[in-house]
Amino acid sequence: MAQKQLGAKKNREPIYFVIYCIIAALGWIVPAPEPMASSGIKIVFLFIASAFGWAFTRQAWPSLMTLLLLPFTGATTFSGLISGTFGNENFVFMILIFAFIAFLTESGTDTFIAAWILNLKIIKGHPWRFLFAFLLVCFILSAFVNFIAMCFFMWSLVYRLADVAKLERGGKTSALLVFCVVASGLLGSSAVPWSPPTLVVLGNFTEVLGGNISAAKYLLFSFPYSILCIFCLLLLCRYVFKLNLGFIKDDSIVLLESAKRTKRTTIGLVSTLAFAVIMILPSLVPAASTVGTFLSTIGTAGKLMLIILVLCFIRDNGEPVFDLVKLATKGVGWGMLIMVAAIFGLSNAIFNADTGISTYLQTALAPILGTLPKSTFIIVMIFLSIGITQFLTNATTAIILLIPTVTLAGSFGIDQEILIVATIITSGMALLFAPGGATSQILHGNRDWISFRQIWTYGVPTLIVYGILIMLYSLLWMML
Amino acid sequence: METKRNHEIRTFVIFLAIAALGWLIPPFGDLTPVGMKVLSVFLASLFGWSFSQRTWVSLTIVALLPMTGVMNMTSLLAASFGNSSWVSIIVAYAFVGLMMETGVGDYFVSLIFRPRFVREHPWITISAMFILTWLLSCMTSIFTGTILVWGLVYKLCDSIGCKPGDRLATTLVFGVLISGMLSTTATPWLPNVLVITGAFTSMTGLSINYINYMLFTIPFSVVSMLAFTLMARFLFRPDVTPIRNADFELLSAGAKKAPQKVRIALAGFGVFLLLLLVPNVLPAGNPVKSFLNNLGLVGAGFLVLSVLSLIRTEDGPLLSLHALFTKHLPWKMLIMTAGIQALCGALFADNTGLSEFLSAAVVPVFSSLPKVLFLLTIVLLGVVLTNFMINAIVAIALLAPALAACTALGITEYQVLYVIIISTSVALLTPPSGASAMLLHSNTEWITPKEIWLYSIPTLILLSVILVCLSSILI
Repeated sequence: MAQKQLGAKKNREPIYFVIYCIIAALGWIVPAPEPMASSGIKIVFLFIASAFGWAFTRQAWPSLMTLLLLPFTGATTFSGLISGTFGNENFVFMILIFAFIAFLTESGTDTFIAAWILNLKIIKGHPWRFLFAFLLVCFILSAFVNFIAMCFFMWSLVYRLADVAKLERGGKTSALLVFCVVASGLLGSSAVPWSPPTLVVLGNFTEVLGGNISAAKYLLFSFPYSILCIFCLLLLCRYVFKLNLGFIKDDSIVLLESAKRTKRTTIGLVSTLAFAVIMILPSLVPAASTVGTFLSTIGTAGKLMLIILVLCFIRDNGEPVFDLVKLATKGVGWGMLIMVAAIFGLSNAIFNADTGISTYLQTALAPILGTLPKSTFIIVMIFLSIGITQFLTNATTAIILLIPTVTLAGSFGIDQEILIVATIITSGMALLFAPGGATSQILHGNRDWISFRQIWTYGVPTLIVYGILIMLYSLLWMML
Repeated sequence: METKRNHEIRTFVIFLAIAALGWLIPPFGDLTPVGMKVLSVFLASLFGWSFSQRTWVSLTIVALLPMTGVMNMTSLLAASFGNSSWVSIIVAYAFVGLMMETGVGDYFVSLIFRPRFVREHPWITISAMFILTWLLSCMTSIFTGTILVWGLVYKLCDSIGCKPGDRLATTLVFGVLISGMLSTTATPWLPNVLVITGAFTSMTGLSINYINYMLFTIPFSVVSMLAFTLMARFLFRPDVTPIRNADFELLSAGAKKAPQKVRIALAGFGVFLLLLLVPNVLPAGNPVKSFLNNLGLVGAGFLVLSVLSLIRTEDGPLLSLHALFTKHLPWKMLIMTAGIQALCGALFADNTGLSEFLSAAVVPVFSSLPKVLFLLTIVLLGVVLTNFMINAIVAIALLAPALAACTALGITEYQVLYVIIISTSVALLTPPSGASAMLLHSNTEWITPKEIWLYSIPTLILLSVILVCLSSILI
């Protein structure tokens, strides 16, 4: 009985649901301010209700309810909504990339990459080189495989290291290493334009502008920035957090057996490389050439389809190496996928000219932000992004900031694309509060190894450094 | 192993060769160059789906179609993954998962032998098991319904000393499967039906009236189950008297009050059905009707699933949608549906000329036939082909020419659709032809391939006759 009462007490979902409905209903009650249409105000409140729902529950109902209510705002029809969300090219691409990521994990490609880097001769006996290589592995695995899988894998190496070196669980060194895995991994999760979290925002941006940020441009921005951040994190560890790595000098510490290449890991590596090349290729070949036309015809999803098609015919020990059905069942993250559909639906509606939201925001925000100098505007946007993402999910943060970025960046003469990329990267920097996103959820969930206080002690300086770096880096890009 | 790989690669090469014909052969009739390419991709896909069970066929179709020039990738994906029927299948399977996770099937199985009249008359006992299979399969899936009741059949056989191979055991195992098979087309929100109705909507722009659909399919199921029971009694002639001695108490074990989870799941499913069916009986212009029509199957599903996910039972949360989707969504079917929708969207696009071509080529052949003969042709083609090819593929292949002949013959598109859906669902003879055949052929312990053919041929004839008669009467 007592257990039943406890269970009943804990169920706050109906309360959240009622609050969600009340917020959404306000859109039907509150009159729309000029020049917003009545459908616009309904969408605004639906957006606020969704942000509330996503912040307070991990269940899928806020996304489903948002999809359900959108056609009733008058901004779209149900069939239009379905084709603009589930039929969105980025949505299909996400399904395929989830399966591809599951393939990389299943084939042992991630372990191979980690083992190869951590066993390089150049880092043996050099603790700080070792730490740099370790953080680089976190970044690469997060970028090309999956952030959560990377965390568990790399943390297991930290635990083994702590065990061998007899480090105290939750002590400064072990906590800092646990933190560094997340701090470098979060850079990876937004470093490639085809990673699922990035696609959510990038997909919306594509909808808004009707174009694409080229993969090459994105990577040219994100990779050097991320490497710079990892280097600065290393400096922070050495000179600010005073990390002592003396115990790593012992050459006998071997975290992973030397990398053994199997047929599957080779296929995993080659397919990842082929995928990266085919994604970057459109930026390198003339659009009118045969290759350019072909790649543009098949689109982003088609490129990954081609890689998967080839993989479908390769066998190892009589079994196909890529079983799409099995990998999709194992790899597709439905929580994220449904949320993405709802976000696509919302952003399509928000930027639909008929709703008048963009026009309203332009007239409302211009007097506030429009008087700021260009550099101050960039600083405000970046720190707003880092600040908001500590409380709201990454995608929600990025979508909120996408609105002023798209509506105002042009009037400042700012390179809109660079600011969008910077927003995507910073909106992934959730560390301080658990609800902020996958990065903070996973970090705060590891209370055995790192305390709330330690997260803040290491997190705040790291975020400030990351923020200053991206601000300077963005300004530099815009000047070039 | 090597042979398997060679088979897939050989199939892929032939697939590409057939598709390439569209680029080589000049268009004929009213077909445009784009239409010729799309038609060749369509023929290649029929070949691919028939000879490979892998997902590469559907992926290649989606990758190839933009190259025909019929539409770009963005529009194609919107027409395939962004088709309502694709999302409807996700919703339908979420409900299937809900029923399975909450144990609705087990509860119904435990209820079946409670009424005394069911225990006293062997043929009523048998009929009750068939009805139970049909009902459970309608609510969950043919796999769940059939396997659960087969379990009951095994227990029953065990308690009366009936062995595999005995005529009674074979009749029961086969009859349960037939009931499950009939359920796969009984309601319009079942995944198999959604694939074909989605293609139908893409081709014609017409939507499905759920009540009209069920007014055709449910009587067909009821008449067929009744006719099968009669055929079993007078043609297969199993000795049913031992059933009187069965230990029904043991078989009804656990039949108590429905658990809380079962009650909530059934209530949720009931509300879902109401939301689907009510708009079909309300007068035009009624605001509730327009609201529910706006919701549709997907919206109604989202609403009910959202509310159900708020509920916590004594065992914890009633459902986790993420877990439900991850565990129960059939990716093979979803990917194939996307391929089918992409094809249908492309085939009947304005720039292919295929509609005009079919009207000119097919209508003169069929328009001279009496309606009944036309229906018989469709039914025979459907039943024969579906026993050797995948159901949905046969249905799509038949839909296009049959729909083209409808107007000339004075038959509604819906009647042709219903006949095709049912006739292409009766797969029994070869394992790869469909879910029912796969289940039947995999149960080697209780039924042999020879028995399958012996029981299937008269059953297929019976079902075809019932289908032609019923559709002729309704038309």
